[in-house]
Amino acid sequence: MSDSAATPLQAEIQRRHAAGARSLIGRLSTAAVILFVLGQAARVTEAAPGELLHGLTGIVDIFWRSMPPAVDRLPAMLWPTLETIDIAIFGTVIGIVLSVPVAVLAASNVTPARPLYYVARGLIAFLRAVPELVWALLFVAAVGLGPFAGALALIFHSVGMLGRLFAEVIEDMDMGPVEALTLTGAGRLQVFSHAVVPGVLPSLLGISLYRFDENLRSSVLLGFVGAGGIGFQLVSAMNLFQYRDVSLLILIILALVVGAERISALLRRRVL
Amino acid sequence: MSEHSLLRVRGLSLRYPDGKTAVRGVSLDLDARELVCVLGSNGSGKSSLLRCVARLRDATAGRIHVAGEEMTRLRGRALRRARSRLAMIGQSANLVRRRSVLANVITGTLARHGDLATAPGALPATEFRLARACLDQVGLGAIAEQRASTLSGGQAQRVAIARALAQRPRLLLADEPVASLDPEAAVEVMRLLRRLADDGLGVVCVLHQPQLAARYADRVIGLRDGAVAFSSAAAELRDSEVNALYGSRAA
Repeated sequence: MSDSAATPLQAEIQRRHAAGARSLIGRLSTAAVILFVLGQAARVTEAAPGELLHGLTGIVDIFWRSMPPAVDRLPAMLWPTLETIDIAIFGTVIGIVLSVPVAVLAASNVTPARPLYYVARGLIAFLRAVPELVWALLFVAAVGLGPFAGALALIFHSVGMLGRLFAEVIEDMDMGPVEALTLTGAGRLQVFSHAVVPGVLPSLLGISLYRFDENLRSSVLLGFVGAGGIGFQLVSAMNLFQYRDVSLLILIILALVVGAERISALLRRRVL
Repeated sequence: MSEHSLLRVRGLSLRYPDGKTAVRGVSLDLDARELVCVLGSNGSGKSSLLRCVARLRDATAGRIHVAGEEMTRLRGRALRRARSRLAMIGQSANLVRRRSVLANVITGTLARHGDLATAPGALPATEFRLARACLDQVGLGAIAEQRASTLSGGQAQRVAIARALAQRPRLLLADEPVASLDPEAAVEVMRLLRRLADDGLGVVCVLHQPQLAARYADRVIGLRDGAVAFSSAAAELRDSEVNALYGSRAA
């Protein structure tokens, strides 16, 4: 009897030993996998700390050559700056206008028909998956170099981003008023404008302002591929080694980004 | 008499797709100026009954006549028109919280106007006068401009009733309208429903409080397992009948 009581205990001890050994092997192999992944990443990126140190002198050199910023060139940069801001404004506003109907179709609680829901969801996924820079490359090819290509790129990407967020807001809204109005015999459009719109408007405004902030940053980048604005000036100045122009442009971009962030945060606090 | 009754339900049944039967062969009649309370424990089919009448659910069998019109087969525009003649309020007021009280009440009039009357400003001044009159009727004319989010539970429920009145309905369905109110506000809402019935409306009110039913209703209907267990004049309501509805839970 005592034997049979000891045996399960011993079995348990053995089982735990085995489990301990297994978990040790498990941990070691996890560590090996992590080291391997990191190692290959360092190899592929050709990471070389020595070269960074070596290049440090180059960086310092570029820094001195870009000082002081070419402030006298500021007037010439105003137009590209305005272009960058306007690409963001136009892209965001048209993006908002287009994403509202897409979001209504893509919100499972208000979509008029299932097939339309899937079409809208697919469209949103596609527009989001293609990065803004790729859209910009496509539109530069289609409509030529300049700000319009940039605005189009922002519109396409924004409809994807806003469409999804708007649809989520609509799906999360309080359906009580919608049911109450449907019961009064009000029509679809009336229910939409009297129950859905007032319920979701503040969230939509908040999301839109945030989108403008993001789009302004993107609109700087879009210039790199020729879609107009200040980014285009930045790339040109880099290519011509005009580092004092570069430092001026970086200061302008800094002001733009911080300014947009502050303004959009301020307005968001107002509407929410 | 039942030929001309305002609401006439015959053999109404509702079975859910999962096989559960919520309503079993319920028949009832309601005249204008009548307040009928429906009692029953949770799951007895009270709310399902109202939801079938309002066509939020499609009954699996039976007929519903509202002011002589068969409801169960109506679709689209005809259903909208029929719905506008019966109003429904629920446990929560379901107001648009960011809008004013008046803007909420005026939405009750939308069904009388075209689909494109989508902004409150597009509605004629007569409807605004009506909405204000409805607010006066529920005793809240003074707070017409206040935001709906600032109201107490009892006030919100009365605004919901005003919105229902703005439909100019002949029948009012109330699904546990006092369930989330404190006793004082509950009595106020019940008094209001009684007064509306006295002024000519037919009212069906689902309740959980037998005392309120006995005090304010003309007739009380008890539902048990989806079927009518009793239907008596409120004055003749017996405790034993009510207790049987709630099974062992009743004291």
